[in-house]
Amino acid sequence: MHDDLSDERLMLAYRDGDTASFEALYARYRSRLYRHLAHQCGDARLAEEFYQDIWLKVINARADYEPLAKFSTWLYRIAHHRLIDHYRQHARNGADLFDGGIDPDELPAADSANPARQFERSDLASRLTLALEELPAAQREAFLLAEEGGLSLEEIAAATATGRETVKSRLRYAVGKLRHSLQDLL
Amino acid sequence: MNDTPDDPRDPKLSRLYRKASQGEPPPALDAAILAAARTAAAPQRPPRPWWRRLQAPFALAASVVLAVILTVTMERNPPAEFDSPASAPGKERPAAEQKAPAGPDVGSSALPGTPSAIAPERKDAPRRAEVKQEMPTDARKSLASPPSPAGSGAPESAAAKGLPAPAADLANESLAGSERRKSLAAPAAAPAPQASHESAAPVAQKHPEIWLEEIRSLRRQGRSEEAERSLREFRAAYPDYRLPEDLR
Repeated sequence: MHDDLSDERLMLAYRDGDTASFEALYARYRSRLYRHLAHQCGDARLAEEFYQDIWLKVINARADYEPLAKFSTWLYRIAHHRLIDHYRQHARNGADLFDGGIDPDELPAADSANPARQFERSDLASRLTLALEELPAAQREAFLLAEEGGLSLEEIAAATATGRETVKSRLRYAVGKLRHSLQDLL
Repeated sequence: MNDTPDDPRDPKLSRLYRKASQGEPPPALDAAILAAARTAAAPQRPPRPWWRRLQAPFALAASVVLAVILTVTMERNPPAEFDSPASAPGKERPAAEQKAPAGPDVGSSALPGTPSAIAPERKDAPRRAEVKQEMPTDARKSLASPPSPAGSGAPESAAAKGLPAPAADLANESLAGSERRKSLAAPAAAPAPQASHESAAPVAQKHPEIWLEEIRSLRRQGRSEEAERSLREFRAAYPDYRLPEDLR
């Protein structure tokens, strides 16, 4: 019944009290949002905390919801702000990356790029996780929003409050680095 | 979503990512979020009507208004019991009121059947029998004609029944106590006897024994001037009456 309805329709139906619409909407995004958060913060416990916070914000904002943008863009914008809040509280550098105070594309790779750790993660998922961790936060976010969220450049720009060209540049850097890291698997 | 020519996404990398990416939220987390969504969407309790919301303030306001009305009413129309302390023995009362024969009459008429109204009369009844024997004929006549119809029955009947004579002190105490009780119990009925007493010849209507007890009571209260005046009036009213030793 709800399969042929758009995300925005489902959210409007939920705003009017239809909980089945929310369940359908939740089913569409649960895995995508969770993986986005898991890859973004690299910590399952934190990812679960963020995941719950984001959905609760969606629930609490239902009364004022208006389909001014795609639901996915709105959802990932909430996720973006939640991550920024976390980085502002716990890691000043991480927030700077998102805020644009530092050029994230010029930053070195993460500490997890050492060979010993790479050897431990021999399987495909671990290689992918490791490669994502090596990306600067903003590039990683752009890649994850594009691949996991399925957002266009404009939607990523709207969700992260940056310009389209900036998103395009970050995504290009991210794709290039990942191809380099995973070239033996491609 | 590589829908524009300048989109830098790589289809091979996208396939690899979808193949390798894994991870699901725990079922408990799903259940908690869905429960929160259902709770938030549950119909809210309809707001109470305005008269239910204002119920408590109205009740409080009504209580305050009632209390104010009662207070004002009590101040303007104080109950009978609150008048007596103002005219209690400690306060100066007119001599006429002190001498008024209101005692037994008022007490018996104000609270008929109550112990405070009946007991004093019974206690002084034997005393009156003694006085009758001592009194001259005129005085006996005045005793036989009671000061008021209401107060006459009990003493006479008590004397006729020949009740045992109690001690004089007991009688004095009971009389003094009865005076206090009467003044407390029947202030509303008091003005009538007072008015009649202030008329032409009220003194002769007063029972001599009761009068003497009032004089004693005045002396005990330290109101010697009033006591002396009352005693002079008594002598004028009952010139042949032999005064007791303590009043000579």
